Amino acid sequence: MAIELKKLRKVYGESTVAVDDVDLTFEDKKISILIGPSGCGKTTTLKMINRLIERTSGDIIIDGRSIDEIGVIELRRSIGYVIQEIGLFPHMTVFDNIAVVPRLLKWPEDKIKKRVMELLDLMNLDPDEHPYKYPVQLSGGQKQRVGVARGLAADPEILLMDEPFGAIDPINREKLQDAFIEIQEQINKTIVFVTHDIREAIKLGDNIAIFNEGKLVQYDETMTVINEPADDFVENLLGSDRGLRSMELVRVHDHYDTDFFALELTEKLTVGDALKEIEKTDRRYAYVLNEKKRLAGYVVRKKIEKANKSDPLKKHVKETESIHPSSSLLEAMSLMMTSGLSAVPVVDDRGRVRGVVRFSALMEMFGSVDLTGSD
Amino acid sequence: MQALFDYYRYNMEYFLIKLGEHMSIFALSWAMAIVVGLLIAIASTRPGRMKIGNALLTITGFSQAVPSIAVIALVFIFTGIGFRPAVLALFIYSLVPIVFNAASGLVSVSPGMKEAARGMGMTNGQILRKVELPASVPAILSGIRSAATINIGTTTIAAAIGAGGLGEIIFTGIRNFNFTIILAGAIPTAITAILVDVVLSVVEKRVTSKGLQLAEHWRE
Amino acid sequence: MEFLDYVTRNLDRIVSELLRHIHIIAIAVPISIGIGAPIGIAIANHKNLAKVVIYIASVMMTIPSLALFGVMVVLLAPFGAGLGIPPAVIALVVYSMLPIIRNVVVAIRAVDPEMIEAARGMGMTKAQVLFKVRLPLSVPIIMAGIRNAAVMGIAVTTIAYLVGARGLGYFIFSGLSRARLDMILVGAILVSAMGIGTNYGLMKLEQFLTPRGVRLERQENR
Ligand SMILES: Nc1ncnc2c1ncn2[C@@H]1O[C@H](COP(=O)(O)OP(=O)(O)OP(=O)(O)O)[C@@H](O)[C@H]1O
Ligand SMILES: [Mg+2]
Repeated sequence: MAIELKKLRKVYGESTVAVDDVDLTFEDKKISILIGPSGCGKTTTLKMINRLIERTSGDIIIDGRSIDEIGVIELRRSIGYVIQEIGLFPHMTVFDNIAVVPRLLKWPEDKIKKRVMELLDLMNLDPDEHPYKYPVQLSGGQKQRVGVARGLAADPEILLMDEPFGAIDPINREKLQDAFIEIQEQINKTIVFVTHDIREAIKLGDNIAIFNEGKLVQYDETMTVINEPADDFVENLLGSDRGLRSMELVRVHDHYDTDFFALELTEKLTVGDALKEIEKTDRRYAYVLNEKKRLAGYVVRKKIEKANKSDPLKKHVKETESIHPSSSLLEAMSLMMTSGLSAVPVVDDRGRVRGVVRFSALMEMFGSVDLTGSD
Repeated sequence: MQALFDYYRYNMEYFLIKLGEHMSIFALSWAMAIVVGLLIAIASTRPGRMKIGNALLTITGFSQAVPSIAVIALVFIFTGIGFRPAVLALFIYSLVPIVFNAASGLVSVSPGMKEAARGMGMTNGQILRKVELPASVPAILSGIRSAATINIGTTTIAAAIGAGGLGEIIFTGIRNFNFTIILAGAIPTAITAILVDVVLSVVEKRVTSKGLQLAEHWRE
Repeated sequence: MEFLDYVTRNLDRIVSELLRHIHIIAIAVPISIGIGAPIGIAIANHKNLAKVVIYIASVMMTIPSLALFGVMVVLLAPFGAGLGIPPAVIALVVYSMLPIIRNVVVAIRAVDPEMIEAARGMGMTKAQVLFKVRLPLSVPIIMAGIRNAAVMGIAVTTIAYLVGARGLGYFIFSGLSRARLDMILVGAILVSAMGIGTNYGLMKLEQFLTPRGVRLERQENR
């Protein structure tokens, strides 16, 4: 569900303008980041969506309806809300913490149990051990996972997250972020995520909204923000080594090309057959999949043109490196550098080829990145 | 020793009456204080009323330094002697620790937790029942328990305003400088006080969420 | 009116009972600090022993003061000290030792072990660690224990009138037995004021003695 903010404004007291006529749309099934210096109005904006803070003027539209048309309690129960770990209830077990909203919604207990176990699994928490522990018995990272699970418990379309990983040490934060990316791939929620960490923003965000003093300074896709910062403020926020840094943070996941050519290998397929197929496309090479549609390797057109046309193609297939969707673009780049390939296939957990990352595309994306780097 | 047994043998009926009085003064005033005290603590800590809650904390905090006998004396001035004034005095006196502890428990429930609850769509009543009260259970119980200890100790002194109870036996003993009678009153008084405290400590353990008990341990 | 009349006519008596009250507390509380604090320091590092001692002390605490006085009178009588100051002081020491022992133990245990290690690492002796690190950091909690002891002492001393120790209890108990409202009021007001005043004064002293850094940290945590 998309969330539209229309001339959204919040004034505290007489004259503190915390949010100043903000217009933007959080896209359906995307992670949208709110970032900016302390006090710029991120939290205020977020809390106006579930009406923990009432707006002064403007409107918020969810799924075509103004949030005022929905009862405030019902609205909140239909939106997941995750804050720093302080939000877990110490007197409840992990299970009961996650079950809060389903119970408010009066789900039957067996459905709740199923859902909680499902979520523990999703969050990579041991379903035998963890449900009966109490928050004090968990590490910071585990607590945060429980917090996310609790936000997702009633399967809301929308998830609001206010610096959810803010209190976690850097190493565990990285892990949580990686896990979170994978979770979002499975659940596809509309997520509004507040952070003050630009690395986190680039890493997680599909879109980034940059705020300063209550005003929206820029709102674009992550790569656009990196490549075309709207002004000096955004440029400063990104930092000086933004090219290399963002390459390290941006996932292959959003940036591969699904336009590639693949042949399916059979015992009988000859070089001649293959060439005929390739010639239809004017490609310079083709990927080769085995019977199970897994990547077997690739063939180069120029090379097989010189080969005996009745040879089985199998003889000429060269193995290739591949990359996982959740790897960073920097990893893709170094793979190209070390292997001398101009494109790397993107292969997911199940061995399916999802697309390719091309060197030319990376160059286009990052323009003048100095890959010899500063370190 | 023998003298003590003799005392009980010849005064069993009197003793039982005094014991009965003792327990009923204690139980009545304590129960009333729990109900009223919790209501006051809850009412004064509702959202938007935290200022009242904090003021109440200051007042009850200071009142805890007032000796119980002073309260008994003041109540006597206004209502005279007997069972009812004693119950009233003890009721007022036990209110203080109950309100103080319950209110400080409720006031210190972390704002983040309450906000999370609100953000998940709990109504104010649900936040009170499912979050604030359970999280304040240790503080509330410790107030109730210390009220019981103070109360049962003060009940003995209430004999000074003619309320009866086991204190009356001790007073008689002291007035006549009769050791047997002093002990005949003092020993059961001490035993009931200790018993009540032990029972309450068991109740406290059972009622407090394991998560909170563990949290307590963690802090040690 | 009657009340003011009583006060002016009996000012001498009021002052002397007030001093007597303070006198009893001034003997008992330092004794219980003198005994309680070393006990607390000695047992703080033995977790189980500390538990047992604190448990025993807290059971003693639940015994009503009147009952304890009664027992004292009986026990001390063979030494010719069954009435007057001795039973009052002893009962008071017994009572006020608990909050002192308990708070000393809690305070010392609450000091972060890493800090102790840092201090030892800098070459402090055990005694130096105690006096330069543990105790200064424990001031707020220990002082709270002493405050608790003193406030309780004021109440218990009032009851001590019944075993012939005199003090402000005189106005209340003799007032009650003679149904003299003016006397009762004098007693009630004085003990209440003394309780509240002592509590407040010691709270201020506690703030004053707490190292500034610790004080700031506590405010921060609120
Ligand atoms: N309840 C309130 N009353 C008055 N002013 C407030 C209130 N809440 C926030 N503000 C002010 O509104 C502005 C925006 O606050 P907000 O909490 O939205 O900032 P933020 O971007 O989330 O900052 P941070 O990164 O520190 O969390 C700040 O200037 C803040 O001082
Ligand atoms: Mg914020």
